[in-house]
Amino acid sequence: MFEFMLNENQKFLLKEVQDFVKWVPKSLVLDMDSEHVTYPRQFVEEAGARNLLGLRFPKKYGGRELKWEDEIIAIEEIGIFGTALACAYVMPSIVGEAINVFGTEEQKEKWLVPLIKGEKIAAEALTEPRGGSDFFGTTTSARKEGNEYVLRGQKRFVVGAAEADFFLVYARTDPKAPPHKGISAFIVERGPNVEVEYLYGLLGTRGGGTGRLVFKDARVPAENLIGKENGAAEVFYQMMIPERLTSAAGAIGMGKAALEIAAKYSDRRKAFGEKIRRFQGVNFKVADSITLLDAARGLVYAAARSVDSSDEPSRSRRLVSEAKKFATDAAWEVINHSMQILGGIGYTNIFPIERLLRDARLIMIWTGTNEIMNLIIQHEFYKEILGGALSARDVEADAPEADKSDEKVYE
Amino acid sequence: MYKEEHNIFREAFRKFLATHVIPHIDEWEEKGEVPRDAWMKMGQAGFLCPWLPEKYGGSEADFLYSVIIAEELAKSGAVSFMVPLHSDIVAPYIFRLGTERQKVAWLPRCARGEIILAIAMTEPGAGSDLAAIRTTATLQGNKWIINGQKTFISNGATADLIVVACKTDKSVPAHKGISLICVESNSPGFRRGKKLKKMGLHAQDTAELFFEDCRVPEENILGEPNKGFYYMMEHLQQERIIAAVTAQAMAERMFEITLNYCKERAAFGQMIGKFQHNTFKLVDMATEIELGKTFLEKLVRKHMEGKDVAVEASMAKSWICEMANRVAYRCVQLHGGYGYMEEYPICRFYRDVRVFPIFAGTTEIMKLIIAKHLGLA
Ligand SMILES: Cc1cc2nc3c(=O)[nH]c(=O)nc-3n(C[C@H](O)[C@H](O)[C@H](O)COP(=O)(O)OP(=O)(O)OC[C@H]3O[C@@H](n4cnc5c(N)ncnc54)[C@H](O)[C@@H]3O)c2cc1C
Ligand SMILES: Cc1cc2nc3c(=O)[nH]c(=O)nc-3n(C[C@H](O)[C@H](O)[C@H](O)COP(=O)(O)OP(=O)(O)OC[C@H]3O[C@@H](n4cnc5c(N)ncnc54)[C@H](O)[C@@H]3O)c2cc1C
Repeated sequence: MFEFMLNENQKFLLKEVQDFVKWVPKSLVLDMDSEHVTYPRQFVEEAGARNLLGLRFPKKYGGRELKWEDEIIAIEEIGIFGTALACAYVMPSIVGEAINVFGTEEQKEKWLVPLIKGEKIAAEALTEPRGGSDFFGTTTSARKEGNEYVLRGQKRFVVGAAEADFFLVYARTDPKAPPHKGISAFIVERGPNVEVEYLYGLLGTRGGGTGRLVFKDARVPAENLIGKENGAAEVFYQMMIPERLTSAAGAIGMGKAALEIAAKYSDRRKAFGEKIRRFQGVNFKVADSITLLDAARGLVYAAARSVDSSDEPSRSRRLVSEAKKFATDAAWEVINHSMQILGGIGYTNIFPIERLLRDARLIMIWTGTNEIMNLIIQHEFYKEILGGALSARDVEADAPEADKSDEKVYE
Repeated sequence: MYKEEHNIFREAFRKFLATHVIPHIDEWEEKGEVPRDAWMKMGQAGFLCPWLPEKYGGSEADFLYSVIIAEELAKSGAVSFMVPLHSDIVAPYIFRLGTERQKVAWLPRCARGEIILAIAMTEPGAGSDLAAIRTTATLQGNKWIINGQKTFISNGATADLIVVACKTDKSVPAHKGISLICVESNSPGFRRGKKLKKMGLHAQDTAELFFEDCRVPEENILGEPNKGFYYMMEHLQQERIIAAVTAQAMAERMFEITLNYCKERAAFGQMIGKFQHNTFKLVDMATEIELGKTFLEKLVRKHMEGKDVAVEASMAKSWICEMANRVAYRCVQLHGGYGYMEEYPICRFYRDVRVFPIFAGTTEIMKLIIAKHLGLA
């Protein structure tokens, strides 16, 4: 984070998170990448014990009532570990959002409180084998039977699934309604008819518990419905904020970690009798990289402020999507440059760059691909501009022949 | 450029790969090396060093056969089976610089797969700047005594014969005092270090090598003493062409896989390849791949005519290897979450291709070579 922008409380938070980051055993990071550990439960417990989970949520549920502006500070710091730990860290913030915003008091007591304490692990299941981008195409179904819903279907690529105690699941409750009017969100506890399988063989983000889920007539009590029946669209739109802001803030941390390693390396490594940082082929990569990271951070911060200040929802949506797209693209590029700066050794496990690069390939894909971000960004921007959000001055008129309306042919 | 016999050869080699290589790749990736048996099979079938004269065990095949082998290995996902390094990068040093005795002793066995070759230039302290190597060789009686360390040596854990760049004269400017000496793996004082764990090329054993008063016969020197740096510069030309050919083939294969995927996968009720963004991405890739192919064909032809293609080879190495990485990145993206799964071939291609802008001379070093030609460096 830009330290000069932080107030005293934020500086204190940063310090707390840095202490936690120092606590994380190296062996955990390595054992996760080698999949000797398939989920970092101990890490989540420790974060909970330090009261670092779900920072934004009300104090009465165990949170700190902080804002996005604060939480992104913590996420960026934890991002330096790569995607698997960062994702475990932010999951309470993501799943917690649905419960905090749409949940009943009982649901909050039952699910949000242990989540923030780090005592329960949650995961979010949207994606299906059939597809992730087209969320509203969901085919997992939930049929109401008395006081229960019966879930049937499959979910794929669910981070944390391997260890989760409960899942936030989207399922179709009204097959006849238009796609976005027939889906509901549920809390589904791990149980007999919920099969979970850890997915080995990911490029990166290993040890984060990514798995597949199969619901074989899994029975879910009606009281586990989050929000209204057939009302999951609202939940989904709300969830896009935590999913994407956390991806964006975490990405900056990953990029920062790689760039730090590359910059230090290039100040020591010599070729042709010079430190390689003397070559513009190297130091301009560093310049481009730090510019990208700073720009990303600025955008993430603006998006956070937009959400915090209850700005127009459509502008928040645009900024959050831009932040997700830009920060993830930037982080990948920075890590890729960093590998190049290290030369051959960067491709090996002597440095963590190769792991970060494998991890980073995910972030342009998950929580909505960056193409889906573009779909949203253009949509919201058109709405804004065509809705009259124009400059104070008629900028189009500043051309010599601007008044020749005959020349302006549109069809 | 390609004649009927080349096409027949390509078909035969594809069949060979389908039976003897492709089914084993996963296992080799897991083990971190390609077993000797696979090399022997390649040798028996005539796919190692086919360009060698018959008396050294080859079939005097032209360079296109080498290109075909490199391409087909890359396309089948067996880029870690570093046959082109053996056949077209290291063996030429022995053939062009070796004495008759060396050639007779080694080359037929290279062609049979009994000897696996490696070349050791890079050291922990010197990669791009090869003149800065520190490994020394001094003559004592009729033995070279070699001391030093090499790293990132492809085929390093399995090689039987290694061409080692050593400093033999410290009194002259660095590039005038390097020699190439062949070290057999049973030489006293030679030791292999650990295999390096890498982002990709898992089946390719990249290793550290140690020389501690390693003794090899005086006659193991290749060519003349102290000319090693110039020999390397000459031979790196073909090494870079081979790297470019391989990266180009990888790009072609990745594109093919992805185009198919984009025609099958649907989102929002439409094949994903039909969203204009994705269509244009695929079109851009097809265009870049075509440009690479055309340039490479011209380069290969000139190289076969024996022309000096140092500059074009550097252009091809840097542009095509970077292009292949752009292709890999986009192809993973088009696969969505599935591209992130090792189960899908694109995932391994993505890991494997990342090293191409690094080894055989980094992109930056290629640019310096081109810059020199432009009068800028
Ligand atoms: C390691 C990992 C962890 C994950 N964690 C979770 C999780 O915890 N919970 C969860 O629910 N999901 C998770 N996901 C799933 C992830 O969110 C999806 O993979 C992602 O949304 C893309 O969906 P898809 O893979 O089905 O790709 P597809 O939807 O099939 O998309 C394929 C390609 O088409 C493009 N495309 C699709 N539609 C359009 C369009 N209209 N215009 C232009 N291009 C388009 C996409 O951008 C992409 O490039 C995870 C994925 C991975 C790999
Ligand atoms: C998988 C693998 C297999 C390999 N196989 C072999 C092999 O079989 N035999 C062998 O001898 N070597 C091999 N190598 C080594 C490889 O050729 C070197 O890694 C490569 O040449 C780069 O050298 P370096 O790693 O020392 O990087 P360095 O030379 O330290 O370079 C670090 C960075 O500085 C940049 N740089 C250096 N000088 C300049 C300059 N003047 N201007 C601008 N930028 C500059 C480089 O481009 C790079 O980005 C292999 C490497 C790998 C990873």
